[in-house]
Amino acid sequence: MDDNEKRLVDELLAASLRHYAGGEPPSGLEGRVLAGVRARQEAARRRTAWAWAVGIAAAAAVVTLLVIAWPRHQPAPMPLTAKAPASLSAPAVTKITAPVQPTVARLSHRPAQPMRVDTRPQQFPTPRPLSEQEKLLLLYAQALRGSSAAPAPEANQDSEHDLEIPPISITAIKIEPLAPVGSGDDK
Amino acid sequence: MAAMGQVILSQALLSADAKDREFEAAVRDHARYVYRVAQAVLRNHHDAEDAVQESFLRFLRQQRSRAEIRNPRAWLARTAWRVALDRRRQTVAVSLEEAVGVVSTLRAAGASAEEVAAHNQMLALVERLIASLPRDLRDPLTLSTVEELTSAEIGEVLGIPEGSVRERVSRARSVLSEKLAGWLEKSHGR
Repeated sequence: MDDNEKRLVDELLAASLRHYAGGEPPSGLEGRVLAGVRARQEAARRRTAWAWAVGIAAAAAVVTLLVIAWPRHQPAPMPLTAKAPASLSAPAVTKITAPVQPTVARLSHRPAQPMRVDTRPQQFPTPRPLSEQEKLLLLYAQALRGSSAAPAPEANQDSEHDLEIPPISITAIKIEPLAPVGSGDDK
Repeated sequence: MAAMGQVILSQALLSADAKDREFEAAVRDHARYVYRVAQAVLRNHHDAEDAVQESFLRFLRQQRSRAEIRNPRAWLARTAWRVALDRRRQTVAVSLEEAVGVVSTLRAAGASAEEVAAHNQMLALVERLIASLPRDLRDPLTLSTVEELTSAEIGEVLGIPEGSVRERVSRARSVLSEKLAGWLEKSHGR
């Protein structure tokens, strides 16, 4: 290939490479790019909002399910106790509580709670010794009862007299022998 | 407290507004340039325009993420180059023999180099020849066809020194010239 031919090929190549990148971009490119970018951005924003909404709804559902399915706290069973009757004339009460239930399997993962001991007294309100005022009041009441109780025996005697019942006299019942009425005449 | 909230809100709105204006300015200033970079790789108007939109969308996200873009022009060229490479499809295969035959006919008819170069068959021929180059020569040569890109910018896009860009472009042109001459000579000899 001579120099002239080589030069022509180089020119052809240079011109081809100039055309290679393409001519002027079509008019309105900037407007289309702006509109396209904004539309795609808006679509992406909507997708993100939906993703958040779905995520929050799923989290709420999971929390609700956990709350529903989580085992509730059950009070520890009371021990079966039978205490001696209280000293102050309280009626003997035998406290019967629910029988001790075996530990529920689903609570087995919880730490065992100590058994509670019932220390409450059998009588309510709790009996206690009389105070000084109560003792004085009691003495006063007894003294008052003693003075008003003196004529009681007389009254009792009077009432006994009033109630004296005279001896009962019962007249003997006389029964006449039965006489046949008109027995022979009728015949 | 309320006044402070209003100040913060107004500053945020102003900032968003300023970023919108900055983005619009970037589109006005660089859209055509970004388009040429994409077009050099994709060789298709619609694909190139899609690549431009994708590049500016990434630019906007980068702006919103408060990451600093020191040189928007270089950043956009690099992004457009990567987007275009991801989207590049196999071009319709053109018969080299047919293309060379048309080019030889045009030359024999006395058409100027510019007239021949503008012909679709010649463009297809050059495209095939460039595609046959090794990648380290093909990429600098492809970017060098975009007139607005300097050697320094090509180097920034490809991550190689400016001197290497010049050297590789020169080598690529030399290889292309030899191949083109060989094809034309072969066609002339038939």
